[in-house]
Order: sequence, then C-alpha cells, then structure tokens
Amino acid sequence: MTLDASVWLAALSPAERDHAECASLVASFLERGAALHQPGLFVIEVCATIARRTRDRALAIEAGRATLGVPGLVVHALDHEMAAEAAEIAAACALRGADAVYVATARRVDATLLTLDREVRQRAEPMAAVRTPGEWIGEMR
Amino acid sequence: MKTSIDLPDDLYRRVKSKSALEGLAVREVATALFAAWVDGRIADVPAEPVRSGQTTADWKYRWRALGAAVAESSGTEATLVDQLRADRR
Repeated sequence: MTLDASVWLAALSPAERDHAECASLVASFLERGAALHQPGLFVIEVCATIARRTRDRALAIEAGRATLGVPGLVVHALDHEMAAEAAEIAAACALRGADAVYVATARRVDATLLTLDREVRQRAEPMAAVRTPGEWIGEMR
Repeated sequence: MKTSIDLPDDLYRRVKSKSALEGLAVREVATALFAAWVDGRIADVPAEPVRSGQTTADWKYRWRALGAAVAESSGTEATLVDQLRADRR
C-alpha cells in the first residue's frame, strides 16, 4: 500500500473534509500490520504542509517524527533508478513531479496508491493501481 | 562468529518467549531470520523500527494528539489538503 500525502494529512487533522474515511483507513492498515511503502518525499510534504499552514515549527517537526515512526513504514529513496521511473511516468501521464514519485513508488512494489487527487486517480491508472480512499473502502466491503 | 546486538527489553522478552514455545534457541531464530533476509526471502525491513516500547496503539495516540494540535493551529481559511495542492502547483 502507498498513501499519498493528501491521505496522511486528511487522516491527521479532524478539521479535514475526508478525515473520518482516511483516519479509519490508516488505522485499519496499522492494525493489520500492513507494509506502507512510501517515498521519502511524503515525510517532507507532511512536515512542510503543517509548517506552512500553522507556522508552528515544533508541530511540523513532531509531524515529521511521527511520520518516520509509522509502524510498518518502508521508505523508498528517490535514487537514480526511481528518478528515471518517476520521470517516465510524469512524461507519459502528464503528472506533476511529486505525484509521479508516489506513482513510481507504488509501481515499484506493485502496491495500490491511495490518493484524494482525482487527476492522479485518472491519469496514473495505466501505470499503477490507483484508488481514492472511498473507492478502496467500497471495494473492500 | 560471535557478535552482540542491543535489543529493546520488551522485544527480547517476546522473542525469548516465542522461541521457547517453539522449542528453538534465540540464536537459531536469529540465524534463520538473518539468512532469510540476506537471501531476499522476507520483506524489506521497515526504515525506522518502532521505538523501544512504542506500540501501534502508542503511535495512534501520539498521531491523534498531534492532529488535534494541528487542527487548532491551522485556522479556517484552508485545509491541509488544500495547502498541499496549492504547494504542488
């Protein structure tokens, strides 16, 4: 399983529109001991987004530490090979750079990518299994 | 060869109990696991092991407390996901 930063952020704050759905998904993955294959970028994005939204350095650092401590986390480095794969995906699907890195990570381990971004959901489908949290929950029922 | 490693107390107690139940020495379990990992027969090792004594329940408690603090400090103009989308554009 690979979770886009949008899913982590929605799972984190109760003020987010998709909080209940995303928090419940993250909890269920943790309870099942699922491996969560993430690009290192996700730690930076969660930390940076909280810093920019709250302007609270301590909170942002705590969020960075919490993401690094996610049980079952497997971090995939953006090395030469991954960069080449992400670039190929970005070019083929006309994705933004960060989105292509998540798709490449999921593709490398044959994982499903969960995202709240409809554009990624539609455009990346030929490259990897991509679902919204709502779709994933529906399929699991 | 002989080697020594530091393990969290709680983890070592659990390994010892399970090994005993299965009639194995801790050394045999460690050797089998190392061999399986080196040969690629078991999945990747998590990047950061769960800290000593930290359980999934501990992590979830910490995550919820962090979420409440973030929600309180975020204001109402935009959500975190909105901020992420704006930053990625």
